[in-house]
Amino acid sequence: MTDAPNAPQSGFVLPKSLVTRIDLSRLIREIESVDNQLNEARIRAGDGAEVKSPSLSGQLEEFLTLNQLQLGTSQQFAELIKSLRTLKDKAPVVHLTFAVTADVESLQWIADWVRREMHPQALISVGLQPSLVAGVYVRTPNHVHDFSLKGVLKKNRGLLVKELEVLRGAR
Amino acid sequence: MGILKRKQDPQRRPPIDENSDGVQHFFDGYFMELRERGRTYFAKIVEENAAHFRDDLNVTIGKVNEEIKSHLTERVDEQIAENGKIMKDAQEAALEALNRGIQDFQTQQKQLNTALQQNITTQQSAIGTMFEDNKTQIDAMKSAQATALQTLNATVATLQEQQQQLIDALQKNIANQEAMIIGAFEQNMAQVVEHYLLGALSDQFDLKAQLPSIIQQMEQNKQEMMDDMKL
Repeated sequence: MTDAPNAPQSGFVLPKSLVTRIDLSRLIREIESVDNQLNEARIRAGDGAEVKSPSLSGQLEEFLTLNQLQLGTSQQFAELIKSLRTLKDKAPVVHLTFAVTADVESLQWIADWVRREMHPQALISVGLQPSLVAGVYVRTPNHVHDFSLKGVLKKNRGLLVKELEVLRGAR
Repeated sequence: MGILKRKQDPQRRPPIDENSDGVQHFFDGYFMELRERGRTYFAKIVEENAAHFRDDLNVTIGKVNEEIKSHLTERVDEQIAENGKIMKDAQEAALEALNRGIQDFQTQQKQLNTALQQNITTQQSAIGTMFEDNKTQIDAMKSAQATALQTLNATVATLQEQQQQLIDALQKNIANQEAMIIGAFEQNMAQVVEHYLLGALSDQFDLKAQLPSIIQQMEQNKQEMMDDMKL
């Protein structure tokens, strides 16, 4: 690892595999672990000795690649961890509630679309509500959007009542 | 009465001298004859005296009877006279008491009459007053009855009117209730249909199959969601 400067925190590009805030927390923990392992290795090897980089997860490698980051010193690790914690606290979260269990691919696809179309650092929070039948129930920080089949039926309940009224009038 | 004189004991012997017993025996027969004669004579005297005594006794008894009779008659007369006097006194006392009682009775009767008259006068006055009062009360009662009758008639009219209003309101309420129930039924019916659809269609959609629709709907609301996230 070299001493290349880190990208600014507002410009972080999140990988597809990092969907939820939990994923981001896991990424931060892994970076902290790598930093600790490197520090231990340096202390054991002595001053000036070359230390072997520990193996990284695919998600971390993708994150580093996408953001063109090279971590070397403890100072760089600390700055990155601080920036990621800030991102974790401040990144906009879109809560999506599905009628069925969401698979990873679909979630990644949706997260990619959200980051591409709405906010590049948006995180997804997933919920399950079978009574929705189909569709999704979206909750942004201040609004709720019901795109579920249950919502559609509820919204169009007047049509059914109207049909019943027509039927009663015909009698 | 000489009949009670002490009799001579014919058998009493004079003191005899023992030298003279021969003589005594010589006069035994003579003495016995004398003794017999004396006995007969004595019996005769006794009978005569008894007859005299009987006569005297009869006379005496008769006199005593007469005296007793007169005495008793006198005593009875005295007693009768005394009784008569007592009875007369008692009669007088009773008469006096009776007269006094009659006088008291008459006095009491007079007082009673006076009191009765006063009482009758008072009663008449009270009855008159009561009659007047009752008459006034009856008049007032008649007036109150008339007023009550008027009020009652007015109340009946009001009640009839209220009843009619109530019937109208009830009919209207029934119609509203019917409409509300039908409306509620339609709403419930819609809910039932909706619930049925939800139950029937659940687990029929895969998320991957829904993704295009989800993305399409999110695309339609993209601007609003973006604005919300930028806040």
